[in-house]
Amino acid sequence: MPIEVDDAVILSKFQEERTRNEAFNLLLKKYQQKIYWHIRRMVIDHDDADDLVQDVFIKVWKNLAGFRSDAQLYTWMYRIATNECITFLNKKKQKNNVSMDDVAYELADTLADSTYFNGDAAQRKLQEALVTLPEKQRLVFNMKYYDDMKYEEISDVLGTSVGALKASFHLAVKKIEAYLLSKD
Amino acid sequence: MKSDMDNKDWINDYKALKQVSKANPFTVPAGYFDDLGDRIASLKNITTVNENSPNGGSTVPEGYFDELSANIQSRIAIDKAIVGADAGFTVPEGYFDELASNIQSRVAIEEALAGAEEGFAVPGGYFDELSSNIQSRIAIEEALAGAKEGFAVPEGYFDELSANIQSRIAVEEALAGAEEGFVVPEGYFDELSANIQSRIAVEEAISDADAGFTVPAGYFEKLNQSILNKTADAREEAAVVSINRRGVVRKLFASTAFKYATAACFAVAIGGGVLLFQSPSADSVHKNSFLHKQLLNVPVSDIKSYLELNVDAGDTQQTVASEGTTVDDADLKNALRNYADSVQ
Repeated sequence: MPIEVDDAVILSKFQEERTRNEAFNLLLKKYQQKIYWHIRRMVIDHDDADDLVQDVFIKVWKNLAGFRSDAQLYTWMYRIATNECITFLNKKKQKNNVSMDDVAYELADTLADSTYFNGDAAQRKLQEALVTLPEKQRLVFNMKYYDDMKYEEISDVLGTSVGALKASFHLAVKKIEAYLLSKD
Repeated sequence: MKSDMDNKDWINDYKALKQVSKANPFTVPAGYFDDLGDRIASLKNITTVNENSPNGGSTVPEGYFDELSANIQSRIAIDKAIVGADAGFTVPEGYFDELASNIQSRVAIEEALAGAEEGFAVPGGYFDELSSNIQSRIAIEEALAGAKEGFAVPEGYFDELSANIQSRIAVEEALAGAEEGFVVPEGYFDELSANIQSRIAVEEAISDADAGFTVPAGYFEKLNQSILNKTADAREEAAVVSINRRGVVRKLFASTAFKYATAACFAVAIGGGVLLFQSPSADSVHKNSFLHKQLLNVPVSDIKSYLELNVDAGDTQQTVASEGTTVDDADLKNALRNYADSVQ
């Protein structure tokens, strides 16, 4: 279990030129898996997730100097990763000229063909149910269900009020439950 | 409260979802996260280098881009040469562009030739009408031959035809030569206008000379008397001198023989003079002629130039000698006057 360095230390090291690379390495070690899984659950495919996680951390490197210290570092990084995912999915829609439903089917196919999925049937059904949700509901559900994030933290990431997030999460859960019950 | 999503027991209200394992079903390649940080760090370094260097830190030899075009073209030429060398066989330029049309043309020609060999055809009923057509043609040829024989020529016409044609040619040539026989000296017509004007000037000069010399009125009537008066005065003066100058008169020759010899000399002189008077010379006659007297007033240079321009040997012979016409002074004078009047 890697030793997690406090965000304040990382930011402090990053402000100095000679410790900037060290700070970035600490940041990578602390958040690379969290950012990766957040992206992976959105794009499903490992290679796409790998590309996006690299893009996210490059953006973090470029913009970390301007990071406001009054916000939490990881919510800021989650916001970057979320925007990258949404941009990626939108490009996928535009590239294939398909609707969001078609993207959901495509993600489901990707999930079915993925070699890096070892979940059981119930977990597969849950993922199939998730790809049918709107992006916002899926994001809220993933951050709440898998990452145990608080609504306030999710609100910082998505820039949405807590009440709206609760409603979205409630809708998402109901849809998922209905999906799981309706299909074998 | 079931609707309170902050309550961690909310999952209990969703039986199906509760049965799903919350474990992460996704996996990653083995060791993925072990080098993920290193890969991202390398990517970060590359990005940093690219941002700090326009060419991403990469450099090229000096003058690389200047020679790049030439190098590429050389490479293309070499590749073409290699390809050509491998193939060895070449075709004329545009061969394959025209190949399809050439083959089609060849096929068409072959088909036409094949059809020609097999396809000699005659109009329908040709052989049925052939016999009558030949007979009609024979009749027409015979009729034309008879028509040719209907034209007759005099007997022996063709025997004499050659000689007649040659004679006709000789006559035509003679006539043509006769027409062409009259010739004028070279440049004659070029100088004709100037010659005529010179001739007119000379004639006018002659006419003016004739008219220009005048004598006082009654000059010739008084001339004889004036001469006589002068000679009479001379004799009177001589008489006066002889009267006034009386002196000694001496005889030079007093012998009788000298008297006879003197008489003989007088007789010879008188006889010679009579003889000479009776056969005047041509030169004396000419010098006494009116033409000579008139021409004396014309400068020799003018006469010379006039004769050079207007008179030749043939003209003189033709107008004076050959005709045997006697021209006296009166005729010549009259002729000159008539000419001068006609010119005026």
